[in-house]
Amino acid sequence: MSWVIWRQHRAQAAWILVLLATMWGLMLWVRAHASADVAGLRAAGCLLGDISQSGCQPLLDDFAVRYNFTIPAFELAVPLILAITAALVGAPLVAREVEQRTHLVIWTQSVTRQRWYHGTVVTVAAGLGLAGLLAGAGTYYLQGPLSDGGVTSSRWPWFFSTALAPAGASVLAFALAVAAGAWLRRPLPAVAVALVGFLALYAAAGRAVQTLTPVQHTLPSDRGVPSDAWTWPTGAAQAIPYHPATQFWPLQLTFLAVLLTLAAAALVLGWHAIRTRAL
Amino acid sequence: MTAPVLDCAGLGHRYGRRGPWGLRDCTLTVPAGGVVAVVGPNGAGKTTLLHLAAGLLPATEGTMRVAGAAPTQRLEQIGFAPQDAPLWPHLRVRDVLGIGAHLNPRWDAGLADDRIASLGISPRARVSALSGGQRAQVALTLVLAKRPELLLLDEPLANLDPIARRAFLASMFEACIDSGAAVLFSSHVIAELERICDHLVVLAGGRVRLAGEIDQLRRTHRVITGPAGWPTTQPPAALDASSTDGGWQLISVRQAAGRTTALVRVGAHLLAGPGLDAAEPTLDELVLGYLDQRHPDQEPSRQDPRSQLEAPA
Repeated sequence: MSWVIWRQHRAQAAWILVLLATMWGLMLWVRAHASADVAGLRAAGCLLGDISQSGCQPLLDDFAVRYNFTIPAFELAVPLILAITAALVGAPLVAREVEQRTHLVIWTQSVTRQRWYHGTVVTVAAGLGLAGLLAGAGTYYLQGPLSDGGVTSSRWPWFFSTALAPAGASVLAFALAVAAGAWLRRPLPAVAVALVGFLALYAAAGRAVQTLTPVQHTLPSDRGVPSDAWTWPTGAAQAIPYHPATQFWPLQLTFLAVLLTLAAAALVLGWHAIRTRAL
Repeated sequence: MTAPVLDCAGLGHRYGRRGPWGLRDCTLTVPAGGVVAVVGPNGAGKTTLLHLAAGLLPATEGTMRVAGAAPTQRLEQIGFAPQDAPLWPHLRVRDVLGIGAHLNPRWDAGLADDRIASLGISPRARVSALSGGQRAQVALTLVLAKRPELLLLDEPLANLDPIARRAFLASMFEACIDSGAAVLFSSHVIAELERICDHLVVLAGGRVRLAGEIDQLRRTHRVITGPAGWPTTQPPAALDASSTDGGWQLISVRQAAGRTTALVRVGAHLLAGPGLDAAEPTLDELVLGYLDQRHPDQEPSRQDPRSQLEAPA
């Protein structure tokens, strides 16, 4: 079974490795430059948080201008590229077999259809999740000097692109694509449906995690929201709600759990299509 | 008598909750080692029957058993070759066989390799580069090396040119008989089947029109040829309502060249009347006769031949 999964997906695995290596290469390269520039800022006493010199603002502005491109290039692109890749892997998983009628062959070997589906889907999802984790680690690593230099205030703005979130993104997009492929039986429409569904669910899940978890509120004695916190804008001038830095990892885990649950639900729907629909 | 490899009773499958029935009320038994031809026009339900037997479709009504259990519990013992031999076009032949080897505990690697080698197919060739006949052979090898007890071949001869068809047929049946498995195959080519199969199932409109051992079927049927208009104008003695022992049943009638030919199911004895020729039907005549038969539901009185003949189908 595992040999068959490997044989059917090894080309995709190779492409994903190339993609990951490219991403990591770019991120390391950008990080190296950003680190050098941050070292310059530090030497000038202009590091965010302990600005001691008066002429720092132009230096920080200059840093921001130079590294603003990382927001579209990595913060937005990494989860999106992972989702597109995962959808391209997931959509043909059932749909291509049905399209070329090889499902009649693969489902009549000595392995039951259920075992084939579960084995394949879980293995490929695990692989894509691992790829997502590596990408998330990359953005996390890249973000360090960028935050120091003031492009982003903390890890929070990249919440949906860093740490565990990209792993959840790729698994969810994959699961949606598998299910869409199983119902539509055509890979390309399934990719489109999966990506639209992914964007909607990813945004909704993110918003839910942001709004439904308990927040702290600023006290009158505070000078404002801590710089390493995630604010959730409300109209109130007093008692501004925010997620403190300590909530970063619990919220990452919650977000991942929500995405994985949605993915599992999509895979169950996909199984339903295989089990009940006529050949 | 050994237990049947396949038996189904009252089997039916409906496509969708309100969709058309692909097969209804199908009752069949395939003995161990039997070679069964399932024939019928397109849309008769041949593929539905084979997919039910392969565990690809669930039975909507009735039961389908392979070696005494549901087909999905007997996947190891069932070898199914779908119509048109679908295979993964980008894989090499050896990878296709590798899939078989890794998904089937009873896989016979020696058989697979020898068969591919003896057919002159390179294991390194990609499926997309194979001819139609070669692809059909690879698909058949994938099924044979699984060492099944029941071989299900869906239109194995379709899409092969006449020369490839003859070569494939010979090799297919040699391999099937060597394997000792029971074979259930569908086809709409009748002429080539006579030498190789011992059971016949005629399907039309999703229903079994005729099922049985071919020798037995030929013994109990007669093709009777007489002058045009027979038998309405000149019923032979055996056609009288008085004939007993199961009597006889008129299956279908054809008019050709001023003669009327009827396929008749008969009891133990049949005395053809004067001016009539009676002969055992060929497989062709048997199949075509039953395909010409009016649908049983449309026949108010099957036992009275004359009412049928006055309003021929």
